Amino acid sequence: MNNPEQYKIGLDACPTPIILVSSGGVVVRTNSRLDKLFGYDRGELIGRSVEILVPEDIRPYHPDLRDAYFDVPTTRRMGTGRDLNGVRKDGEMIPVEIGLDPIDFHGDLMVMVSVLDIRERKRGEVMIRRAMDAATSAMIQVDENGRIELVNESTEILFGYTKDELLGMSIEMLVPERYRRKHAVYRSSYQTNRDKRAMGGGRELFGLRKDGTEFPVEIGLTPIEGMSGNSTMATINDVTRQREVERQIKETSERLKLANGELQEFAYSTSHDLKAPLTSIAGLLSYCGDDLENGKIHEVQHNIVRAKALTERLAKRIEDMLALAKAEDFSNKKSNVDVASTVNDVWNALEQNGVKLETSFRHAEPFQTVSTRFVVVLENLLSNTIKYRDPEKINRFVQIETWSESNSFFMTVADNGIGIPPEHRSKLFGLFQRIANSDKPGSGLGLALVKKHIAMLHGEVSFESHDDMTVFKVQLPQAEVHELELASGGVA
Amino acid sequence: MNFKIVVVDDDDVDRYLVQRALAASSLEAELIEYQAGDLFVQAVTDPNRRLAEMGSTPPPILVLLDVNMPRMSGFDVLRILEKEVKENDLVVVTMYSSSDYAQDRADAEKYSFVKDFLVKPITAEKLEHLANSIFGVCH
Repeated sequence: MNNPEQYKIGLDACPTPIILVSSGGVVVRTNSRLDKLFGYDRGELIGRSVEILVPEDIRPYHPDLRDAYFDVPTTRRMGTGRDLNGVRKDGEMIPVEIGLDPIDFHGDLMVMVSVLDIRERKRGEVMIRRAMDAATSAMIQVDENGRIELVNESTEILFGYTKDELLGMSIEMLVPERYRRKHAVYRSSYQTNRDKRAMGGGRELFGLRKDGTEFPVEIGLTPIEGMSGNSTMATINDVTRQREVERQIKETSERLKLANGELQEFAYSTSHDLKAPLTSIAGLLSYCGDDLENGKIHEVQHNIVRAKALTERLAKRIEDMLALAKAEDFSNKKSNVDVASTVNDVWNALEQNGVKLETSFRHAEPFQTVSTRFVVVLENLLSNTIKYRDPEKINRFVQIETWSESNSFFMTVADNGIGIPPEHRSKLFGLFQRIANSDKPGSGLGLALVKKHIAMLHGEVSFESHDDMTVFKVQLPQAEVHELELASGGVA
Repeated sequence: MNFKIVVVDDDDVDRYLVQRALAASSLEAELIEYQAGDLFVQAVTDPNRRLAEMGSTPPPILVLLDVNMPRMSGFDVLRILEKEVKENDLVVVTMYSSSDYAQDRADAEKYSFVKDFLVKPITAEKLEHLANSIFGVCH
């Protein structure tokens, strides 16, 4: 094709806008589609520098790029990977794709430039882009090797990376370290069974942010048949809030379940334990009538004393039940509590009956707790050590030890009293349980109260028995100390 | 007819009330008292003690068993009796409680040797009726 006319016909017949440029950058030929695309009259560009069609910011170094091309002329696309624009005569920039073919034109090396108008495609891309960016979910498209091909704005916001930091990288960079190996395996198995589904199949999934923090996610997978193989679009939602709400609902329902169980136990115990003394009193009084008629005054007096003791027992029981019911209403305001002096005060208020107190305080200061609750716990544990002392022992003692361990305050209250038989230890903290080997009066509510107050302090109480000692162990978390200090602006 | 009634109750007043009810009734029965479930179990499962304290069988031993006792409840006693007491061994138990609690009643009825469930206070009439239904004692 050495005939210039043949080129002319060939160029005009070509559906693609084409321009023939000399190695010096001068326009030698154009076809009518190219003139039209750039808004020039037919032939108007011939003889002008091709840079007239190049955006102003590229213009200064375009000749160098052109020279480089002519050093190694090959058939290729221009500006691989970059967005290219052409400049129309009226100054409008139009997105283009450009193909370069070196040709020999009358013995001169030239380049035939085919220019593809990609405005429509760009508009479509922009719309898709906008739609993706408008999505509140992070959308990440990965190729079949797990390389990130496409991300939307939500991805940048959610993971804290910029788009440029993500594109071309492995998707595993967004997966917490401990799941990465498995994730790669899951990913390749997805390639063999590609369907639209949720990722994880019921497992809890986590995303990893640039700052190293993790957050719970839900991920949907959609296979996308790309031009360069099988891609996958992952739609990722941050479910931190949902998980939090779920956790709260679960917590609430468990609390309700517990409260309901307590209520049932309460109703049962009440019917037994509140009605019992009343029934007995009624019985005693009914015989008082007969006895008075028959002149058995001593019997009457005796029964009135019995009835009075029963009413007192009943009153105490009701008082304790009210205390238990009110346990939840206590203030939850924590303050620094001096354990030694609190123990001392509680102990001195009790009738000690020859029981000796030994203490060993080794906990970290400050110890913070709700003082009123702590006092109730101490009162009940310590009064039990006295109530259930072993009268046959000469040395009767109770030992209190405290220490700190992994953000918790620990206290053991141990005594060498009569102890608790193994078969009753499971119901120790239930309502109305009087289970020691003793017929000592009591409402059976003391340890239920202890348990409740400690639960309200998010702590735990347990029982153990060894070396002839009865030991109650109390654990109270102290992790919030720092927060409290911050919140109250320092503690006195 | 002379027979024995065993009362198992931790509450002194309630045992006293059974004594009074029995005295006020037309029954001529001897009352044997145990103030805890485990004390009763120890006696009834030891043949020598049982013979000495509750007499030989027949006639059957009528036991008034309190439901709510510390250490060993009435139901704990029933579970042990079920294992220890032979089928033809005539121990007849009547549970009694300060409250008529449906679940307790249902639980008690599962045991073949539990014949009745009474609500406190035990009166002379209740004792007479009980003795009548179990021993066929007419008065």
